Amino acid sequence: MVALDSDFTHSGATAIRYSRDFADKRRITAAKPKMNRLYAAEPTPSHTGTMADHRLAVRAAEIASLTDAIAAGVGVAGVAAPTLDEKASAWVKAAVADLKANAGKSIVITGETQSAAQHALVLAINNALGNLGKTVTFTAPVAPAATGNAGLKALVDEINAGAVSLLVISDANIVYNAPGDIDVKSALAKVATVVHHGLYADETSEGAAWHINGAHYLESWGDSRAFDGTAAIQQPLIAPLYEGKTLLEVVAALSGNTSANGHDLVKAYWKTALGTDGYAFDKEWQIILHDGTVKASASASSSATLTGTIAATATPASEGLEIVFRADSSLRDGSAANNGWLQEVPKPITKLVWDNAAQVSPATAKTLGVVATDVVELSFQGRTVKAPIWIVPGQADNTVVVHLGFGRTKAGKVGDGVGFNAYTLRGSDSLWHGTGLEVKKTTETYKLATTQEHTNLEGRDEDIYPTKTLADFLHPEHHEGHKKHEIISLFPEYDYSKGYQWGMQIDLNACNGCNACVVACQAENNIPIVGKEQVLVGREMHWIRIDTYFSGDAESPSIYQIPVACMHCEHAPCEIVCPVAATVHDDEGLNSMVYNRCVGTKYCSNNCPYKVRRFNFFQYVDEETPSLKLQRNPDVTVRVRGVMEKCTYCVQRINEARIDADRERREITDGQVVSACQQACPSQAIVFGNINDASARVSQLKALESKFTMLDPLNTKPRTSYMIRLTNPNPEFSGKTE
Amino acid sequence: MAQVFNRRTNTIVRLGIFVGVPVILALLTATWWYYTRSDWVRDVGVAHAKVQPAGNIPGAGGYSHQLHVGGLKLDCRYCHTGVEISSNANIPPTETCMGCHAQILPKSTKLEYIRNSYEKDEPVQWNKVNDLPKFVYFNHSIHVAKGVGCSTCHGNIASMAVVYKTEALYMSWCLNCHRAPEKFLRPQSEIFNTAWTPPADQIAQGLKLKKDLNIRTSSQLTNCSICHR
Amino acid sequence: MQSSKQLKPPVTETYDSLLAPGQSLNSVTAKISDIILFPVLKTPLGWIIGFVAAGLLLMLYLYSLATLFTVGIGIWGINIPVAWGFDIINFVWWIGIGHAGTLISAILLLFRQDWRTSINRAAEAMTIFAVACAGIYPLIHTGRPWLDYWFLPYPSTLGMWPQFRSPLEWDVFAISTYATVSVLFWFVGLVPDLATLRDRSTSPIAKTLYGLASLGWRGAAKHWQRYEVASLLLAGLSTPLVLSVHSIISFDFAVAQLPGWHVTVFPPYFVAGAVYCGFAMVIVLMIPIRRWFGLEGLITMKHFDVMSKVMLASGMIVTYGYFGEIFYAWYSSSIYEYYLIVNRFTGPYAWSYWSLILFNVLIPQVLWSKKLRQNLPVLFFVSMAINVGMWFERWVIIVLSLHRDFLPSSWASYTPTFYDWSTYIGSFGLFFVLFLLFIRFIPMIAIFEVRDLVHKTTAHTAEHEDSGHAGA
Repeated sequence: MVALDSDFTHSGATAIRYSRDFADKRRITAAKPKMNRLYAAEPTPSHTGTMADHRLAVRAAEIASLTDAIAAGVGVAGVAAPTLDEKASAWVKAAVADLKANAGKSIVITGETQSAAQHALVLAINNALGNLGKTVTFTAPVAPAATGNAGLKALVDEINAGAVSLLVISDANIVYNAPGDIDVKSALAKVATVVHHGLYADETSEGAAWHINGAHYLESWGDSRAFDGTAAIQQPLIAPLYEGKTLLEVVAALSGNTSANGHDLVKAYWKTALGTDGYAFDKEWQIILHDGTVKASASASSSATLTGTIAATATPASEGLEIVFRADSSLRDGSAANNGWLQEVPKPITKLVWDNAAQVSPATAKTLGVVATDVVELSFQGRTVKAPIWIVPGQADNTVVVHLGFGRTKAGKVGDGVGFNAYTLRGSDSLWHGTGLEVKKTTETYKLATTQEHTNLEGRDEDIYPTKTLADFLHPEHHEGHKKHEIISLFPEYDYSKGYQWGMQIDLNACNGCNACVVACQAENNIPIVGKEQVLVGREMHWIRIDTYFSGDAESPSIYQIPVACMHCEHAPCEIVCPVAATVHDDEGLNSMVYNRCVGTKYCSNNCPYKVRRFNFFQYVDEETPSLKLQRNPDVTVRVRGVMEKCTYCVQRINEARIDADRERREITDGQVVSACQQACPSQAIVFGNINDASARVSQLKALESKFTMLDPLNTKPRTSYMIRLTNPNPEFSGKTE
Repeated sequence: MAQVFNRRTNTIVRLGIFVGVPVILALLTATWWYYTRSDWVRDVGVAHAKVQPAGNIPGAGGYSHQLHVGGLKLDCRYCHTGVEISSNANIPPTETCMGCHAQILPKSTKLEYIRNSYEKDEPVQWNKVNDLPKFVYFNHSIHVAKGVGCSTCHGNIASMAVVYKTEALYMSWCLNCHRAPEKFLRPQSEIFNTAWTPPADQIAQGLKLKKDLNIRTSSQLTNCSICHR
Repeated sequence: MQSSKQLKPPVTETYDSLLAPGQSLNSVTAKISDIILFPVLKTPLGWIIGFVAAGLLLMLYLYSLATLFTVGIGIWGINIPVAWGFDIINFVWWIGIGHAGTLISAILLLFRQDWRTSINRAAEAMTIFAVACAGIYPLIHTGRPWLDYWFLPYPSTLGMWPQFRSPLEWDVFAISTYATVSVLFWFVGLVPDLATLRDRSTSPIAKTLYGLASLGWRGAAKHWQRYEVASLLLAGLSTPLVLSVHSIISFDFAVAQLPGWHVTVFPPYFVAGAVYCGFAMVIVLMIPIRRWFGLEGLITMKHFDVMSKVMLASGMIVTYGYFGEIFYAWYSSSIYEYYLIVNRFTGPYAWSYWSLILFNVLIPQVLWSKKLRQNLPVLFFVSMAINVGMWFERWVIIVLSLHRDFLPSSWASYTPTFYDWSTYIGSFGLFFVLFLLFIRFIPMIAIFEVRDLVHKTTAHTAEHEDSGHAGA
């Protein structure tokens, strides 16, 4: 696979599906000891890039020339190979050789931030390789073709020409997220009546005459289509808390039907769409509501053939600094800026929280003469914004990456004033990247909060993150490593052979660091947020974290991401040091944390080598706000100040399953207890289950040779084990391996 | 110089040290012991008004288990429908009461608060008599399924005109059973018998029930994570 | 209390004997008692200023504690991974200081060392006040201090007991035993002196209070016999405590598995370190006090000479510990142990490690020189350096091991906050309030023990026959 500026495991409507599919092909089994091989070229490290076997850091403007080179290499007619630098051409050569050797079983993919011409060329490449119809399928478009900002620009022009007297805006914060060269705010002032419909009063509603409370998607009736065309009915979980209206209801009202409610509208539509009536329709409707999706609604695949020729896409790349805009990994376009969870979940690779930064590579930082947390002034197309610098090893040189979604002024008490607004720099002709950026140093500095300060493995690879190439793993050169020294103990081991024994296996070949598990755990376990100042001190509360390490040289490092939560050690160092028995081991192998007994001496945290325990230094949990009381999981204790907490293997789910099973006189079968992190992981990297059940998936995975436990020499005997990260580099390509 | 203290001071001080101090310590210990273990501090035996005093509904007599369960022989599960399947043995909704009282005594002043609740669609605010702290996650259904009858913890409800706690519900009291369930188990047919008393050979029968019902060992039952999460 | 104006400089120091020449039984009693038997309203200005200053620091302390209880542990600079900072550093520092007093009172009693007599009362008082300051820290460092009583093994309605395998639980017993025995020992030793004061004082209030406190002591032979037995028993109890208490404190670290904590040399190393800084604190306190109250005749240069030698000896044991740790790091072939020393030598807190070496190892080497040992300004400076050095040792052990342990992803730093400092400096307020009250109302030198020394060393048998052994 060749990914050209495509973070396909993380962005786009297809991300979750592709994450899963990619991970499935990354896992090896005894029956199928084969892995895919990924080449990735991107300006800044992305989730997908960290999984790549061969990663090339290249400016976004130069992706096009790479694509041309590949196209020329695989034989797309009419495309001439451009000249590339040594590293890039070696990479292209290897990629092309592999693609040709695997014609019909390969994919070249490019990202949503690249141009339409680029996408066409990539399709042509796939065509030349014979992938169309095999690895690349076509279906009818799901969403209407987006007009992007051309539509917005046209609208603003119309407004300025005086042609608009009523404007209804729904769920679009255009005053905030329009590119910097389109002045939406003054345009809105010229419209006679602006009606704003949305969940929040935001920057756009400020200029509106009317605001209609929007309903949250979890309070709304509606329908949607997945990328493959499958239709799903959106069903509310609760009645609207604040009498919000869905977009369906607003549009119906505008069409004259002011008494319509979402449910009736959706049901009426599907009655027509399904073409049934009366009892038959009611039955079908109930089935759809139960299933969630409409059966067999996926689009049939159609075929497409290439007509004509494709031109080369690359324009001569201008020198100088390039600016790259990226949607923030958790805040996206900024609509979620008031969501504390998303502000505090650490950004991938950089682990920054509560801020965005101007990210540069180490070499570029040196050239510019800046260090991390220096504030610089970024100027692009005449617009300027101040931003703090952050250094990202593995980023392309001469590129500055900024994330959108910050710098809001009317997001709410959580999101206001967080970070700087990169939208002001954005130009409608260079939405995702542009050259001609100027960077000016200032004398200011700005504190950036990160949850992980140190990203060097310090030579501890073997104990923390061992990696192997697939070839070495399948055919070890000499029998080493696996004969681990048996650690002898003076004390008899506890007998864990009976009953349920819970364990977890995390596949490092599948984890791309997307943070879904981090937020899922926060949601499930009533974990509070602490705010930027507290993260600066080092008091973030996430029970599971994604550790990121850079290995190799700073120019093109290997980037490792490893989810770490409580290991539930059989020889737990935390248990013997608690003076009040607030953390104890239970008969099913869990290390239990008893919040009501914890006095808060914090010795357990000191003795934990994995540092997975979290302490409530202040009363972090908001016990006042009524709506937050509704949010909390009633099955999990809400912790007060002074109490230690940590991952519990979702003991509330285990207990529920065990009680139900015991009551019904049956055993818990594999898959009945799913931890929150496992449930949320798109690539199924986390597997949880009963290790005493030989048929359970977790037991089968733990029996594999590729299993390792972290910090083995300490003999903590953790119940959470990992699968060694295997890489599949091209043996003929001596370039950077991941 | 004259002595400040006379000879008797010696005796007084000696008495004070060897008698007074132990007596005071014993008194303090006894006070602490009996206070923390007292039924009084946990409201055992105190019959609460059935309806919240703040509601202060005149003439409301509250709900009498003595009448309905003792007299009319209603099964516990008629109202407490969740006790076999859920962690909560729920207080019934007003609809359950109205199921009878729409026809029976439909105009009684004593039942006015029920009718009000039904008409206004506002739940009656009952006093929770048997309550545990929020960090204790008690599950009724598993206890009922494994042979713990209602009256073991709640006493002879059928005799109570106004419900009162019969047990202080200390953790040590719970552990007393969790460490040796055979002392308190009863066959499934007797679970809802409010007047059940343990037979003479309770331990033997209890052990048999323990085996038949597949009840876990005392080590497993006293894992903290059983109740505290 | 004599005011300093009445002191007559210059003072001739005695170098070769534990008592200045010309001391008699009466002069000893008079000298020590007269410091105290003075109307409260005529308390000298120096003491009042000191007391007010200490009182202000005590107010700072109470304010810090009040903020701590109402707002939370987060006002300190601790975080994950450095979950123990100033709280435990200062706890161990204060407890360490306390050990000198018990060693002087108990072990030197069993070894029948006469040089203990002039300093043991003040040293033991220092111990008790230091243990008080120390003992507060474990109680306040918990996240929910109102539940600290769960450390105690009482039969509770929870049906469960504390977890006895935890070193923190052992601390509860160690410190409470230590405090109890120290107070008892100190008080038992005080009884004859309080009787002296009862008999010498003229104010009726003083007579009553001292009289109550002296438990009816008449100086009868029977009383003395019981005293000797009690004193020996308590000394016998205290002696193992000197070794065990700080060993148990060291288990707080040694039982954990962190590099730099999981070290078997910790118990003797900590005990030696405690004796080290304890004696240093005794010297720091004694030098000014003997000057202000004109006690050069009773606390002579010989005392300082001997104390410096004890300091030097314990300092060498501590130095051995430092070298040991470096050796273990290399010999262990453990990358984690090795990195510990690399971090101490070159990491972000290397300045604290090298300060430690300077203050604890290098500067005290001057004590090898007899001339410098008996030069009071030099001795004062060296003792202060040792106190600071021992503080750095606790800092190095706690912070440097916690802030960089096994997983590099959890590496962080620790910055003490205003409240960390105010709690520590405020604890000095508590200490000095108590100590100033002590020197105002209680004889700071053991009168009867020094009288005994006079009796033993004086060659004048005539005096011996006249005065007898009895009390005042």
